[in-house]
Amino acid sequence: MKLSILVLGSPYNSQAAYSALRYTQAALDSGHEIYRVFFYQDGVHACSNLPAPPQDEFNTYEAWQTLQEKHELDCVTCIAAAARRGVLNEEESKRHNLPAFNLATQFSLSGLGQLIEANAESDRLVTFGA
Amino acid sequence: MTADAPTTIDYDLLIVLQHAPYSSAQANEALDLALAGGTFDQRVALLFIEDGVYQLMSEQAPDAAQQKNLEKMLNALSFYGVNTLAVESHSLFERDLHPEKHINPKLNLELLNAKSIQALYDRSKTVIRF
Repeated sequence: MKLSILVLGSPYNSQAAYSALRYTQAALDSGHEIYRVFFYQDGVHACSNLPAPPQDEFNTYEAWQTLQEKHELDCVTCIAAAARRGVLNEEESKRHNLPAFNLATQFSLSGLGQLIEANAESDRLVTFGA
Repeated sequence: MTADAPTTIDYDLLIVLQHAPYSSAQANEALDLALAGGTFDQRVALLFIEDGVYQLMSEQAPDAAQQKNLEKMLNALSFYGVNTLAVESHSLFERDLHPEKHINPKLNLELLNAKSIQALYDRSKTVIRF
């Protein structure tokens, strides 16, 4: 089955990013195709490369980056939701005249059209809410 | 999920709005998605339930709280081809809200009971709750 994943909740405030990670991994292991993973609302926090959780805790951020690289997943972060919450790539940071950027390179910034298209192209869109 | 009972899919996306309008970004980001869906010619339906029905009130004046007026976004939906706005009658009743007295008259709302809501879910490919 062709699946897309929508992550709406942030790490620590919800289990969304972690559950979505486990689900995506399980779907790939079972031979399903992941068309796109879209991060919206507080879900965009999972796309930052600055969090540094304690060594003895599971690192959801790093796990997403590793999963993306391993399967070359199309991981898209909503540009407007991310800008609101201070998750920016270098280009957006410069555009807003801000001093830093933190979007992990495994994610790309784009608009809600990418979510709409993922829903149209996939058999199922599976949401992990806040 | 209608794996064993195929139902006609009338909507590509059903957006369920269940939160009060200005206490979080939920309503704003849900309506952004609805407008994006309309822009890309998707069949979008909106369902207002629980505290989400407060989003439908007329004469909203959020300027004093430095918030963007969501009433304008709601009124714009029809220009984007999003014309199905449903509201759960019981949620209005519970909050003592009367359509003719409290609800934005520009909106063409369908009042639904629990059974009709179930049918709306069945007729939608994807449901995302905000």
